[in-house]
Amino acid sequence: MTARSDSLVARGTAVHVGSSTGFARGEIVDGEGNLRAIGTCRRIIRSSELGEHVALRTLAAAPQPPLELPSMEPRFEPEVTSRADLDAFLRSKLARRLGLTVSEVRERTVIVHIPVSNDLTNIFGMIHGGAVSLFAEVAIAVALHALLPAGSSFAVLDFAINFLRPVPPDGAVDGEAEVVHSGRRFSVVRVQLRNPDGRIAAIGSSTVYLAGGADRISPDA
Amino acid sequence: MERPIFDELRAKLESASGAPFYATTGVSLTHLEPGFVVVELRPGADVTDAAGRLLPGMAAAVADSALGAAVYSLLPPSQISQTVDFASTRSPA
Repeated sequence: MTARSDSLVARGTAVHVGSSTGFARGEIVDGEGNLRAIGTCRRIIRSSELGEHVALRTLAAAPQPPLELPSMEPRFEPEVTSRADLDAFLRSKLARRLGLTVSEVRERTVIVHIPVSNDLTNIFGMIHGGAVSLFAEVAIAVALHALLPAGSSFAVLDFAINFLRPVPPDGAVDGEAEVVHSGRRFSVVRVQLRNPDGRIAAIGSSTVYLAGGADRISPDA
Repeated sequence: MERPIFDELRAKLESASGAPFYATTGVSLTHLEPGFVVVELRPGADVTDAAGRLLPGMAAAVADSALGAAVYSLLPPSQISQTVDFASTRSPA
């Protein structure tokens, strides 16, 4: 299922939009029609203090092109990654474009440093939430590649993130990813992203299936 | 369908003065109606590793865009929305 794995389609549907919060659900399908993920998101709603910009609601109200959705097979299999992919991962175009560096590797923790700039901003001029999620997942992946035993493989089964405050478009984000649990079959990894002022911008976590050859990173107490 | 109007608006949104995140990551809004949004990551975007596998995080990045936009598309002009949490599940394994 790696053919055309660089193609993804996400469909989002608003479930509830009230006066103070909104909620949406959606699904992600790859180029082969595999259902890759099911997701939800919660949003806080507030008054705008911003000037004119091309808003999504303006676009939503515009005449629409024909809707062409890929057919979807009900296949929903874990994508297993080999731990040996770390070097390839760090050499990848996006990792290099992100300027990702690994600043520290400890027994159960890694710290990654990601410079941020205007090229990942949203319409509000702050780093896009999708990019912040990307940083968090990249930090989790680095922890798994760096800390799992050589020859092991894993599948990241879920990902959740709380956005605590915006990430400004200048400076950098430091992500500390910790393997908080590692059993025979499953691992739990938690990540904190910090802004340059040291305040936490986001907290994320993933459940990871240890697919084979993965002994414990270190026994839980 | 008057596609040019949609394309023009989308180009503005995805431009450097709109939301550069889209252009940088290769994410594109392909369909928007009030409350329903389709976002695509184009084939060939620089988001794969040397083995051609999608990098971790891109699925979340794409989904965050679609879900956030779905809520945002229903708001009155005087309001904005910001994501407070996002969660996704990838496999029943």
